[in-house]
Amino acid sequence: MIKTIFLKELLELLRDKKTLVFMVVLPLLIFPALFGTVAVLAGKQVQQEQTRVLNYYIANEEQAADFAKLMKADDSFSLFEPSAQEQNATWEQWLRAGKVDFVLAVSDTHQSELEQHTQSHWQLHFNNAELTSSVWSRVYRLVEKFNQQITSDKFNALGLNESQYQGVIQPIVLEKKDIAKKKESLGTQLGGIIAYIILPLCLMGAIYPAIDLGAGEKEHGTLESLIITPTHSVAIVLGKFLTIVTTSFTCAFMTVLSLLLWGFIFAQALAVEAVVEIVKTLGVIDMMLALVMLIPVVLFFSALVLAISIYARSFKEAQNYMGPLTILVIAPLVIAMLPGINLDWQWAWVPITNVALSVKEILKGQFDLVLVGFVWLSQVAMAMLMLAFTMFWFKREAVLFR
Amino acid sequence: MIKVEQVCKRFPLKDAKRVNQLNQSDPRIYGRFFNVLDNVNFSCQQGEILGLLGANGAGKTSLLRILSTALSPDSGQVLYQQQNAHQFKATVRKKIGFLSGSTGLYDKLTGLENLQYFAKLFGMDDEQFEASLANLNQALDMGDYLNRRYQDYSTGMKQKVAIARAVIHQPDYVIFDEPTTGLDIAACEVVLQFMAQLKEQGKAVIFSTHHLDEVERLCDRVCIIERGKAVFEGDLTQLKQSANESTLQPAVLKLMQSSR
Repeated sequence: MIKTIFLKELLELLRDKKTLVFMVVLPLLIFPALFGTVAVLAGKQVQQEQTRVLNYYIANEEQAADFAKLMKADDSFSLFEPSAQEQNATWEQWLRAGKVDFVLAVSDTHQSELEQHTQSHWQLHFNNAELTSSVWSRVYRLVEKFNQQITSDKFNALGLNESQYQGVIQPIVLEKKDIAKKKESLGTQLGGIIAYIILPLCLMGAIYPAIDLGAGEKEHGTLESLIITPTHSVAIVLGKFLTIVTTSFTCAFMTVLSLLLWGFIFAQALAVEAVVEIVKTLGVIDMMLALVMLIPVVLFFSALVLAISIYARSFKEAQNYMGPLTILVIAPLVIAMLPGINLDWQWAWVPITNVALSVKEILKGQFDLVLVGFVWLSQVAMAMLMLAFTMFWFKREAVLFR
Repeated sequence: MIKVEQVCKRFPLKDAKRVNQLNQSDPRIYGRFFNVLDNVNFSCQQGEILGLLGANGAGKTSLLRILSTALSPDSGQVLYQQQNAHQFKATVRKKIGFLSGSTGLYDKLTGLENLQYFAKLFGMDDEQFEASLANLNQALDMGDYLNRRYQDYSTGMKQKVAIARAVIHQPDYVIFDEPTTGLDIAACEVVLQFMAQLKEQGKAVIFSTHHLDEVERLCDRVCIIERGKAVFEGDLTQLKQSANESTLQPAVLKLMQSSR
C-alpha cells in the first residue's frame, strides 16, 4: 500500500506544472540564468568603473606640484578645466554638479610640513554613495605611490639605501606559515557551506509537495476519501512522507547538478579541474559520509512539513505556517559557519548546528567518531520521533476535520 | 443491516466569540462544546434505501461521517451485521462505500487512474477491478471520458466518477451525502437510477438529501435529524400520518418545527 500511495503521489506531482517549475526549471535554468545575468552585469559595471577616466581638480595645487604632475601623467585621470562661466563657481559646486568626480584638497601648508618632516593631511572629496565607486581606491593607490617616492627621497638624502630604509619603516616582518593540511583548510571552508547550501534546498524541495499532499488534499476533499479506505493511516503517512523525501533530495540534487553544469559551461575545463581537485583533496568517502550526515535532517524536515501541512486547513494556511521555517533552519547553520565554533559535546546537543559542524569535522578529516556518531544517531532519533508524531497527528479527528 | 445505537458526538468550540453568539440561541452548546449528535438511533436493512432528512447544520454530515468511520462517536455504536464499525475499521471499511458532500478526486489523474488507485487501496486485483469498472461504466454512463484528466470534467461527470469511486469495491453498504446536489437533470436521473439499482442488488443505501421528490421516488424509510436528534424514523406513510399531513413537505416541516 505504501508503494501504491508513493507512486500515485509522485505521478501527480510530476504532472503538476508548478512542481516541475520548482524542482527542475527553477534550479536548472532560471536560477543560474538569473544569478549569471546579475554576476555578468555587476562584473561589467565594476570593470567599467575601474577603467573609467575620472575628472578631477586639485585644490592648493601649488603646494603639491610633483603630485599634480604624477596625476596628469596617469591616463585614467583627467584634469577638469573650467569654462569662463564655471570659474565663478567653487570646486564644491563643481563636485555637486558632477563636473568633477573628485577634488583632492592638498594641505595649504604641505611644503613646510614636508620640510619639517611632519605629516601632511590631504582630503579627498567625492560622492561615496555609489557602491561601485572606485575613486577612493584609485586615488589612494596614487597617493601611496607618491608617499613611497617621498620616503625614498628622504632616506636617500640621509644616506640610507633601499633595504635600510625598509628596515627603519618596518623593522619586523611577520610571515604566515600555515601548518594546516590542504584538506583541513578546504574542509573547514567547505564544511559549513555544504550544509548551508544543501539543507535549505532540501527544505525548499520538501515544502511545496508537502503542502499539496496534506493541506491540498484537505482543500480538494480527497483526504476524506483516502482515510475511509481500509489502508492503515501509517501506510498513508509513510507513502506521503517518502514522496516528500524524494522531492526534497531531487531538488537539492538538481541544484547541485545545475551549479556544476553551469560552472562547466561558463568556466569550461577550469571548473572541472576545480571539482576534481576538491574531490581529490577531500576524498570521495569523506564526502559521502558528509552527505550521509545530512540524511536524518532531511527526514526530519520531511516529517515536520507533512505534520504542519496535515494540520493546516488550506493551501494558504499551510504556506503561512511554512514561511518562518526557513529562518529557523538558516540561523543554526550560520552559527556553524562562525569562526572558532567546533564540534564538542556542548554543540552536539544543538540540532542542525551539530550536523553542520559534523560535516565540517568529517571534511577536515579529523573527526571524533563517537561524537559524530552521537550526532547522527540523535538526528535519526529526532527524525523518527517527528515521523511518529506525524503518524499520531494523522489519526486525530481534531487535526483532520478542523 | 446497519444499526445506529445511541450515537453521541460533540466538538470543542475554540472560538470564544462564536460560543457567546451561539449560546443564546442554540441548545446544542454546552460550555465550550457543541453537541452535534445526541443519542441518535436508527437502522437500515439490506435491499432498503433510507433517506436522511434535516435542515442545514442539523448534523447529517457528521452522522454520515460516523457511519463511514471517518469520525468516531463519543458514545454509542454503529453496527454493520452486528460488527462494531469503529472497533473493526479495516474489515468494515471494505464493506462500506461512502461519498461525502465535499468528496473530490485527484485533478491531475484521469478518471480511470483515480478509480484504479482506490481499487488498489481497497485491495482489489486487476481482474476484480475490470469487472467492477465494466458494470459501473454501464450503470453510470461514464463513456470514454474516463481517460481524460479529472480536472477537465464537468460537475456531472465529476460526480459520476466520484460515485463510481465510492462503490468500485462493490460494498454491501452505500452511504451518499447529497449525491445529486449541483447536478443537471440528466446526470441527476442517472444517479437516482443507479441508487435504485443498488437497492435491487440487495445493498443497504443511506443518503442525505433536501429533495423530497427523490425521497418519495426512492426511499423505503426516512430518518429526520433535527438539531442533532433523530426526531422521526419510519416509512413515508407513517411520516405523513404522524404529522397529520397528506403530502411530504408539510409533514417534514411540521415534524422538524415541533421538535424545536
